[in-house]
Order: sequence, then structure tokens, then C-alpha cells
Amino acid sequence: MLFSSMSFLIFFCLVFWGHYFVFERSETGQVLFLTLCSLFFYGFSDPSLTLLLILSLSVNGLCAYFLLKRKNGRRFLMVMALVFNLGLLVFFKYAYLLGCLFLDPEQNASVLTALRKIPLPIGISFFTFRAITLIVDGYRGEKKGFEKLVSENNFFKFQLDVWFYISFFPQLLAGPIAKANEFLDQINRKSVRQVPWYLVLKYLIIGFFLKNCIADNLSEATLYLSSTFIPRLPKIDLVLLLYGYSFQMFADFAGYTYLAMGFGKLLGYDSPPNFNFPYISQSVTEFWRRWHISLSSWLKNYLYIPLGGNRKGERRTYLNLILTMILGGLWHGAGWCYAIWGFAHGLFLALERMVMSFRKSTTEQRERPLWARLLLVFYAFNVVSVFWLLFKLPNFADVLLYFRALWSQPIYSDPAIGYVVILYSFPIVAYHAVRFFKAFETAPSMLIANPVAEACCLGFMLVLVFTNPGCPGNFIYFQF
Amino acid sequence: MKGSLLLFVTATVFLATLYFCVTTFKLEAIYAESNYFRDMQRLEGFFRADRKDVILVGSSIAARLHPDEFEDGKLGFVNLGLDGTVINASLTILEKEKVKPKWLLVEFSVLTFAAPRTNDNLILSQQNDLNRYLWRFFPLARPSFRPSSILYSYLKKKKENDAAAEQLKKLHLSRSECNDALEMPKIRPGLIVGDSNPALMKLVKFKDEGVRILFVKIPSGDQYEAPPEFYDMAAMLKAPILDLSRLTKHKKVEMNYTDGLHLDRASAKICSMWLAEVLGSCRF
Repeated sequence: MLFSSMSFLIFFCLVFWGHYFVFERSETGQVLFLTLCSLFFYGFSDPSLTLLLILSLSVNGLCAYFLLKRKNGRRFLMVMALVFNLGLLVFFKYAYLLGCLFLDPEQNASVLTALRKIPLPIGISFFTFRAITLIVDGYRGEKKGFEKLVSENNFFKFQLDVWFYISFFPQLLAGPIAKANEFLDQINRKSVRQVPWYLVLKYLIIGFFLKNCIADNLSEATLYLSSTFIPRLPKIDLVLLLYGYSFQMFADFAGYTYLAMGFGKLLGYDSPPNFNFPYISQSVTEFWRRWHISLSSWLKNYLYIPLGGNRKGERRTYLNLILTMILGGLWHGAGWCYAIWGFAHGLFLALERMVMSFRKSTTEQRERPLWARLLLVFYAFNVVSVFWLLFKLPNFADVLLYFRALWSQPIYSDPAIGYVVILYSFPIVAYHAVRFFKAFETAPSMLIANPVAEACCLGFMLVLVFTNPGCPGNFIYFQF
Repeated sequence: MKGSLLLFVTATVFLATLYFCVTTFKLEAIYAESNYFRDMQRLEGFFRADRKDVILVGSSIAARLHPDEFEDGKLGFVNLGLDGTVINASLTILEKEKVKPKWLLVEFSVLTFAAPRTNDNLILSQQNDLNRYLWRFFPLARPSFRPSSILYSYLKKKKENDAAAEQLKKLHLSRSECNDALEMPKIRPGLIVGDSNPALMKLVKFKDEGVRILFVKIPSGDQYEAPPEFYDMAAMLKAPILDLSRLTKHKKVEMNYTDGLHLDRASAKICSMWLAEVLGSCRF
């Protein structure tokens, strides 16, 4: 169910009514109702998927219960829960890739065919990571947010809270990957009077604008980034499409995040911000602090630091960075292109760290002259954009074809492609540029500091959502 | 609350201004920046047309021809050529209409009897009652009133050259030239034509319902030429083929293309004029 579809709007209206007007007096009733709605939402297009989600919720609920209530065998429980979650992910997502790696294709053709037919359940990477967060934080004895769960004596209520956290539908399919302690802390009785309407409107308008108006329109141009069209495209178009895809990725994913934040907030739950002006980053390292923040902090907390982080010497730090990013790349999809994408990012993180360690004195970003900052933004944006090609063209040969075409094709441009990319990239560029030049100093979620100007801007965006939407399509991150 | 109110007031003002501008200055878009919206514009034109006596179905090649050129007041012409689709998509849209056209002009190319594409379903999904209703009664929901398409049309119109009226005058067809341009295909001896092709099945049904079919070969830079078996299928339908490419050679006119495949506006205008003249000579 797409957030922008009519079926979702009807579904959400019913959920909103039930949540606030039928179960208003009972916290358990509200949580139970939202959990059931989340299961319905997940199984809407394929009801059999609900069974998979229920299996994951049941196992993680039981593991979390015994992990938090018992004093013995906690490590064993944690390991078992991790094996289950990662096993689920490996089976549905990586079975074919591993099969290709370890099985002889001639002797095991039928096995490989069977592995290839395993469907990829939507959002599995996201709800599995949420479950792992719950298990690991529970094992580590996190206090904040877990106090309520630990003190909960009612087995049913405990399970309900865990099920609710993992399956909360606005964040179920593509994140943000909210931390267990941040989410569990918010579970209480909600009243419609607490809804911050203006903030909700703002999130929803920005979300729909980014998705329907920017990403969907850009996707009409970037579909030319395919092996069929690349050899026929001139140089300027190839470059424009590369940048266009970069902006489309941002608009698509940030749009989804804003919608998740808006719909979550409408039900009384906060979602963590996932983006903080990523394209004004002055290095790849900084980019990862600003892009998909919930995933990068997950990778840092549950992969990079357990691997040793930067505590085991310089060489091991570089290795850990590269390894974390390769696994982060593979999280996006079961293909070598994703591993290469992760490796490339890891390599740049390591190289930038190496360069920084050679420098005697680190110049603060704010102290750099404007031209140097612009140059660094240009460097980081281009590196990241080139790496996005691996997402758009998962076949590595097509990426090479792109660069061959970039070298050999003539320079002129097709006006339609240039028009679409420039017109729809402009709001994203302006959004980042305003922040870059420090025209305002507000929280990242604030669009413009002046409330009247902000309301006007949002009003204009709302009009464009209705009058200028693009070709309706899925969110890119749903495939991960 | 104050912010929300201000937001809605602003949105209403913007919406009203946009409506005022597009209706007062007649800012309807005739081009669109993407295949999808070009198709939506044609679908909108098809939905909103009062008379649909002659309908041209086809792909982006046929979509370049201008129905304005055919307009003579006696018959209502609609161009339902859809970018990025095969002919079956246009025929499927037409099939769902209650009233059938008098004449069906079918683009004759490699796409005429080609297998449906994935893009076809996306376009076909837009042929629903909601869109029909929205586009008729809410002008700002129409694809031809999209602000970005209006701007694109404005920029494109400024750049393009129309065929000069003088040049067009010299290219008019005589009655005999009109007749010569039509050919009746014959099934190759000993060949049995299967009728399982979805587009062919639809055309047979249209013919049974009394719709007259005319295949039109539109110049496409020697690309997308229909294979021999398509001529057999056309012969099975006993429908004539109008070869506009042959007319260009006969009249010694050079066709120009925007991308090697699609006619530019001036060339499209010439082809549209010939098509109108041949249809005129056919006596409806």
C-alpha cells in the first residue's frame, strides 16, 4: 500500500478514527488496534507475508521477554535471537547469492532455480534491524525506554509492546529504523488533542511534495539511465541524469521519511529524522552523518563498534570501516553491485580518515574559505552521485558502458531531459543551498525561519502536489 | 492553528491564481516533458472529445501527427497515438468505449502487432472513471493544465519551425495521387495467418462492428519497418495501407526527424495534411 494511494488514505482515516475515537480510553486497546492495523497493512498486497511477520514478531517477543526477565542464559538467548533474525534475512534475501557463490551451477541447477524463486518480502531488512536493536539493547541492559518493559508483569502486554514496536506501520516498510528505547518510551495513551496539526501538515506536505512532485517527475527522465538508452545519450544528458538520479534518490527517500514522520506523529509517535541536508556534506564521511542517519547509526552501534571500531589501531580501523560499509551495501540488496557500492564508500571513508590523520591541525569546517567549502561539497556530491550509479545500474557492465558513453558521445543535450532534470532538481538544490549559505540557523526540520513565509511556501508546495504530480511509482527504498 | 489556516489560505490563493491564468490566457499545454504525460494529454483529449468519428491509434510515431490538420468540420478526429506503447494499448482503450468510430486509422509499423509492453499497463490503468470525471469537471487536474507542461510547451513552441504555408500549398495531393497512395495487401500464397494476436483480434472485432480500418505507414527514418507477416495480417482484415513514406519519395520531399525516428513538427504537418486529403478522397 503506497502512502500516496487512495487505498492507504482510506485505511489511514479508519485507523485514525479507531485509534482516537474507539480506543481513546485504553492504552492497551490503542496499541492492540495499531498492531493489528500494522499486520493488515503489511499483508495488504500479499496476505501470506503477514505469516512471516508474525513469525518474526513471535520469536523476537519471546526472546526479548526471557532476555529481560531472566538472569541466566541471556547470552545464549541473545545469540539464538540474532541467529534467527539474520537467518531470516539470509534465507529470503541472500540465499540465491550464496547459492551462486558456493554451489556448482551445473550440478545444482534445480537448487539454484528454487533459490531464485524465493520471494523477497517487502521491508524485511527494516523490521529485522528493529528486532535486532531490541534484542541487543535488551541484552546490553539499556535502561532508558526498557524500564517499562522490564517492570511489565503482564506477559500479554509485554508481547504487545514488542510487536507494536517492530511492526509500527508508518515505519515498517522503509524505516526510519527507530531505536527500541526511543520508541518504547513513547507508548502510552494518546489523545487527539495532543496532535500537533501544523507540524503534521508540514511533514505530510513536504513528504508528498518530495515524492509525488520531485522524485516521480525525475524518475521519468532517469529511466533513460539504462543499457538500452545510454549508448544513444549525449554527454550533457548523461551527466544531468547522473545528478538527476542523485536528487531523485534524496527526494524519494526523504519524501518517504517525512511521510512516515507525519503519519507517525498523527498517531502520536515520533520518528527519528533520517536526513540532515546530505548534499552539503564536504566529505563522504560527513555524508554518512547526514544521509539515512538511522541506518548509519545502526551500522555504527551494532557492527562497527562490535568489530572493534577505532580501538584496535589504525589499520584495523580502516578494515572495520570497509567491512561495515560492505555489509551495509549488501543490506541494500543481494548483488555484487551493492557490495562494490559499500566497498567504494568504505574505501573513501578510510582514505579520508587517513588524509585527516596526516594533517597536523584539523581546520574546522566553518573556518574554511567559501571556495574551499564549495569545492569540497562538489567533490563529495560527485563521488556519492557516481556511486549511486551502482543502484540504478546493478549490472556492473552497464556502469562501464555509462563511462564509455560519457567519453565517446557528442556534447549536445535533448531539451526534454535537461528540462525535467533542471526543473525538478532546482527545489532540492535550493533547499540545500539555503542551508549551506547559513541563511537561517534553525533545526533541520524547519524549512524557513519566518512562519508566514514558511506557510506560504508550504501552500505553494501543496498546490504543486495536486497540480503537478509525476508518474506514480513505488518508493526506491521499498526494494531494500 | 494559525499556521495551518494561513497555509490553506495561501494554497487556495495559489490555486485560484493558477486557475485564473490558465483559463484567461488559455495556457493549455500541447506538449509534455515526458512520455507518460504526453500519453496522459492524449488520453485526456480522447476523453474530452465530443465527436470521435475518426481515430488514429498507434505509438509515438503516430502521436506526432496533428489532428488539427484533419479537422474539416464534418468529422471529429482524435489522435490516440501513445508514446512508449504498442498499438494494442490504444486499441484496448478504444475497445472499452461504448460508441465506436466510423474510421480507425492504424499506424503500420513494427509495433502494430507487437506483443504488449509493461508500460502499456501503466497507461491503461489511467483509463478509469475517476480520471474521466476529474479531467472533465476539475480543469486543474487535467494533464494539459500541469504547470510544468505549460512551461515546457511554451519553451518548445518558441523553438520550433512550422512548415511554411507556401510549401504546404505546393504539396497538395491530386485525386489520382490519393488513390495511388493506397495499396491493398495480399496474403502470400500458401500462408495461413493465425488470429491469436491480441491487436489483430481487436481489429477483427472492430471490423465486425462496422468500423472501417485504414493502415497508415508513417515515415520513421527507415526504422520500425513492419515485417512481411504484418502485411499478411493486414490482408486478412482486407484493410488498405496508406504509404506516406512512398508519397514523400513521389513528391520529392525530405522528412526531418527530431531523433532519427519521430517526425519534427514541419514534417508531421505535411504528413497530417496528406492523411487528411487521402481520407477526404475516400468519401465517407
